[in-house]
Amino acid sequence: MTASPTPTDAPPLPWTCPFCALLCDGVALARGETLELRGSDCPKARQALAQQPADTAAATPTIDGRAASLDEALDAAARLLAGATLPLFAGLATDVAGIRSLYALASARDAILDHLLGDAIMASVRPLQDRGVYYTTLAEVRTRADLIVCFGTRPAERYPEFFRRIAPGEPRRREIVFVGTDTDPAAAGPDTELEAVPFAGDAFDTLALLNALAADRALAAPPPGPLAGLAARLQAARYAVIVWEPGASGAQGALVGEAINRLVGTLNARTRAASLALGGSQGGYTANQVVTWLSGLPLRTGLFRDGLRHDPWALATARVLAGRNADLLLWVSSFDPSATPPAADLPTIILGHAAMPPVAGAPQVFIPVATPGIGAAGHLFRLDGGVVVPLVQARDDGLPTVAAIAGAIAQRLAAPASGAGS
Amino acid sequence: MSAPAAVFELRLRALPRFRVDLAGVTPLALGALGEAEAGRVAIRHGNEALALGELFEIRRRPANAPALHFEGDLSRFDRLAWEMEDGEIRVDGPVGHYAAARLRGGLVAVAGDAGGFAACEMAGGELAVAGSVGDFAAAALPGSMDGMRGGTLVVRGDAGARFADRMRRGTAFVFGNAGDFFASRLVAGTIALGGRCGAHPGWAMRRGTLVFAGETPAVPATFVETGHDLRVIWTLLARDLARAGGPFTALPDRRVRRFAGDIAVDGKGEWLLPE
Amino acid sequence: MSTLRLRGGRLYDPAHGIDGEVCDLGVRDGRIVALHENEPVDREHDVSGMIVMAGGIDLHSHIGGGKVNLARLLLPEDHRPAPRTDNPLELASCGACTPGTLATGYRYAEMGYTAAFEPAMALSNARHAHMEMGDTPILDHGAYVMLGNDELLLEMLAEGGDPALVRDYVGWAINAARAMGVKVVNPGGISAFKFNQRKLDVDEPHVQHRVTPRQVVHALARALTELAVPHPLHIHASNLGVAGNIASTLATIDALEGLRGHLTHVQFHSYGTEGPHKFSSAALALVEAVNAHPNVSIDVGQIIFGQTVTASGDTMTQIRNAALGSPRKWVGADIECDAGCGLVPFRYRDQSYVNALQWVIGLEIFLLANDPWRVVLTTDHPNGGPFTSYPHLIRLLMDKSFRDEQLARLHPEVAAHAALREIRRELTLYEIAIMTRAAPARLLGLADRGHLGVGAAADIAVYREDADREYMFRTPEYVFKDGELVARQGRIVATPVGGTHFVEPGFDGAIEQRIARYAEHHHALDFRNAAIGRDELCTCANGGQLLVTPCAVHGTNGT
Repeated sequence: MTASPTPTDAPPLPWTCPFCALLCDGVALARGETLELRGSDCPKARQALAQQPADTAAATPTIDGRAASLDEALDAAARLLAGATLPLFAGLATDVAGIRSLYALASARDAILDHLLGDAIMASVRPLQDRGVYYTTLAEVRTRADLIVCFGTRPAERYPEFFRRIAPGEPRRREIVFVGTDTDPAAAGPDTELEAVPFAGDAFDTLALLNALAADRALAAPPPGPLAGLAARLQAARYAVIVWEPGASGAQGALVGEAINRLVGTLNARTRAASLALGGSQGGYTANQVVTWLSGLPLRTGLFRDGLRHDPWALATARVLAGRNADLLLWVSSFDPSATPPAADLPTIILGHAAMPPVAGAPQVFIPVATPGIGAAGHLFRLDGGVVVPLVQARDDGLPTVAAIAGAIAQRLAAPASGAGS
Repeated sequence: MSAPAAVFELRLRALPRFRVDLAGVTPLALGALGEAEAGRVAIRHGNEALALGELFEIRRRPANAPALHFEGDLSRFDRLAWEMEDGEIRVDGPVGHYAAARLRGGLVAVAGDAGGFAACEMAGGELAVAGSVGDFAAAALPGSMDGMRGGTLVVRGDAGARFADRMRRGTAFVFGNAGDFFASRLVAGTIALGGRCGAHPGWAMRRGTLVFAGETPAVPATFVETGHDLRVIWTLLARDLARAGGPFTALPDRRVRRFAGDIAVDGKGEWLLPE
Repeated sequence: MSTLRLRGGRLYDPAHGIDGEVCDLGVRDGRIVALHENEPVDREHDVSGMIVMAGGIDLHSHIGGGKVNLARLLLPEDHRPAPRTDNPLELASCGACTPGTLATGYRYAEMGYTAAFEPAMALSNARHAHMEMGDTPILDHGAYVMLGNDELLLEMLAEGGDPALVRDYVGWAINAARAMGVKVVNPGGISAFKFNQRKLDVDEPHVQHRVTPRQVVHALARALTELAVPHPLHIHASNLGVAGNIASTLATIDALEGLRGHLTHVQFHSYGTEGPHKFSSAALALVEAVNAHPNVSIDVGQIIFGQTVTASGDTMTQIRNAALGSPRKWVGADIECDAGCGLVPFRYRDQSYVNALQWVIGLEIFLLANDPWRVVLTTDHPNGGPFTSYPHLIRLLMDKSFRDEQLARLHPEVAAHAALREIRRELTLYEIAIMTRAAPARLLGLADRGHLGVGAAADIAVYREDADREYMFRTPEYVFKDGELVARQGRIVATPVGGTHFVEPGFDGAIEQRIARYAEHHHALDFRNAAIGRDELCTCANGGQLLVTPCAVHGTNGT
């Protein structure tokens, strides 16, 4: 990387990084022509910051590829929505305020709601719906865990600061075991022992064996030594944490989560254990939390005219689009310019990152929006579920928020005459 | 009360733009209506209510028992026979998702394929699918503790993934092949498979019986062979299953091995592997 | 400026000793005022023959925050089917035992309630809790921050518990979370469970910190007294649900040493060990203790038969209850070194001996307590049953023959032997008005709510008189929030955003260094983000009014 222009002399801004669900808030931003991360080497944050356009003035709304004023774009979006009978609101990569505002619009237009990481989110929600879970949070892992099992995941690959965020604040011995992957050097630290235990078969075979062993059941054949050893250590640990990643657990990831939580439940009969599901980036857990509290049901719920229906299978974005069971796509993606809408031969409204490349095809309205934590303040849910982290505005880039746009569209729909002039 | 029973013939006029919800369109619900009245029954098409008669040409004729006969491609029609109590529904082509879901009684016969969640949470009656079923047939809805709770499901073609997930009672047959996680989390009930199955059959099954009449699957490490003398029980069960015909016909003539599992969970289920 | 007159209603305003007096009520700009009877007004409603009360105030209802949302996630089947109403003012929202926040606001307002307080806000989850409450339309709201299982406080107590240090820490935490008060849940027990301790009696030491629940309760009650926080320590006592737990409950009252304390959902804490099932009513013992301790107030936590979900911070209790849950699934969590949460679905059955007795115990407490100003009507929504069952509960309390009919349907041993059979008392409208409005307002220190005096917020419920009290309280004729008509005959007609009640006790800021040091070593949030600022609160709470209750030196628990 060539030396970038020195940022201004202003002290770096204490900042919260919105680019993965760890939401690191002990870092800072130096603000010059570019935004530079201080206090962390996180490659994910650096890459995301490098994607922020230096000049957002060039990012204008477009209608069918032609530049338009914001008012024209809002009018066009309102017209498309007014003409739709079965809209799909997807992507939903925004903050709490964005989802709140979109929800009112979705309710008014009887829309279906899904997130661009909907498969992963549903894989984390389904074990909870079907059997329940016992989970823990970052501060507990930091303070208490003496055995951390990363099951089928190297967390730092998608959450680069993960191990720094759970590093104990004072010297304490602990073991970190990677099951089904190599050890990750990112997990190394003082008083920390790393170990890799291979899968016996695949993730499912391995979990079946661990569950049987943890419950002291007799097997037909002796299990692989390392796995038996792991089961014994889980039983002996004072506070074991099993980390998994719903989005990296395949089509039946929910069953991985269920089996992990069964294991946790077995251990909790005698000692202490908990699970931690890594996910929820791009506002994923935020969208799910807000939709759940407003509606009573999680994502992949249709606010249909005759009732609300939650159907994680039929209302997945891909299935809805493949089955042509929508007549409009509203796509919201404010963190990652590469998170473009899926191919759909439908009228499309995009509330997108300013650097999102133009999408060819269907008639569409594109409105560039601020990224929460860059162009606007906001709130996001951290990956462990209950902690809402405030985001600060890094710079005023003149872009509107998703909340403001959704609100403006809703206003136009409530008073259709205002859009008639354009 | 003593209105004569009727058969309604419903011929699809054209494929609808959105998926259509057929919940409520049952032989008993239409039975008391005339042709014109039946045509005015409201069903949901996307977000809008539509009259049944707009989508189907409807003919009514008196009969001994109430029935609906659908003609055409119903693959965009969901919740056929949803919570149906009694009567008969026949479809001469494919149907959409949730066919015969929560069925309580009566017969549903589909000549083509059925989509996802066929016979899910079905409690009684019978669903017979001449073609194949999608994922989660005879399974549970999200959050429900039990999938199929009774009745009979017969699939003459193949089944998708998670067939009979959390099924609790009743009998299910798949003549062809089944997808991954066949009979996952089975609570109880009996399932016979004629072909081969995908990965992880019987995953976390608690009780219940799986009969693999076709290709013998590899037995997972959390299932244990039991040395019981099964002759009497197997004879009874095999004769019962053989009545379904097809790949099950010869079951009474085969000897069987029994494995118990999944000991990752309760471990009280059984696999019967005919030799 | 807008004015309103309710003409000819029968007023029940216990804060002013008004017991059914026929009287006009005037409102100007959202406040109750004295209007001359000939003064022209913008709107006038003839409410002659109707009952007029202040809007209901629920001081203990789990309406928002992490555990409530987990309860919604846990029970999608509780939300099937989920028809939408035909009212375009209502956004889509559904659910029975833990409805969405939108439905929660609509359903509360429809039955004449205008405020509800979330009793179990984790410090680390405070933003989330305020967001959910802010999205609960119409209702004003507030929350009690949970302390007493936060490792830092336990550490301080283990060091000797310097009262000044504890006071400043508690003051900081209340401000940081923008709370209305402090709740302690199974004092020390949630933390102890993280160290694998499965039981903690009032005088038993925490396995790690060697601190007892008695110390925790006393230290927190003392801190709140010194901070002059109006709402007394809100106490979910040790050993919830355990047969014989009346001993812990009485010991907890004892631990207060005369300091003010509010024992919450006492029904779940009033169990003896007598009889063939080793499970009996200790309602009388509880009530005698409450009667004898004017420093103590209670809410009941009545159970209602049917499906619900129990939502609690008390992981130690919930892991034990999980085996009794229905359907058989549950969620638990250890949270950020300051809290826990446990959700167990529950179906209370009238043919279950234990459930039937729980039902009886709750009613006995209501009917035996002699000072309604220290008794608040709750079901501990959703733990004993959903808040939508309040009208049914009111009828049980006001109508002996209805109560007897219900009692006769219970498990025969309970129906035959319950002391409740002999209790003839029927609560009056005046007493109901105390337990559902005036008392909770007074216990919270809300000077301008819960009554109909001049200057009060015009939160008003008007009921059409009906001998069937359940019907009457389910569907008020009019409900006003800050003078605005929000519900008419059970239909929502306006959906203003509710305000947030909180207190801002003073404390010595030097305590922040200690907290920051602890956070740096144990927490996962930068200390810079530990506290919610006023502007941020406004954003979280969806732009509703910020309603600060002053912390002044106050007198005794009002009677």
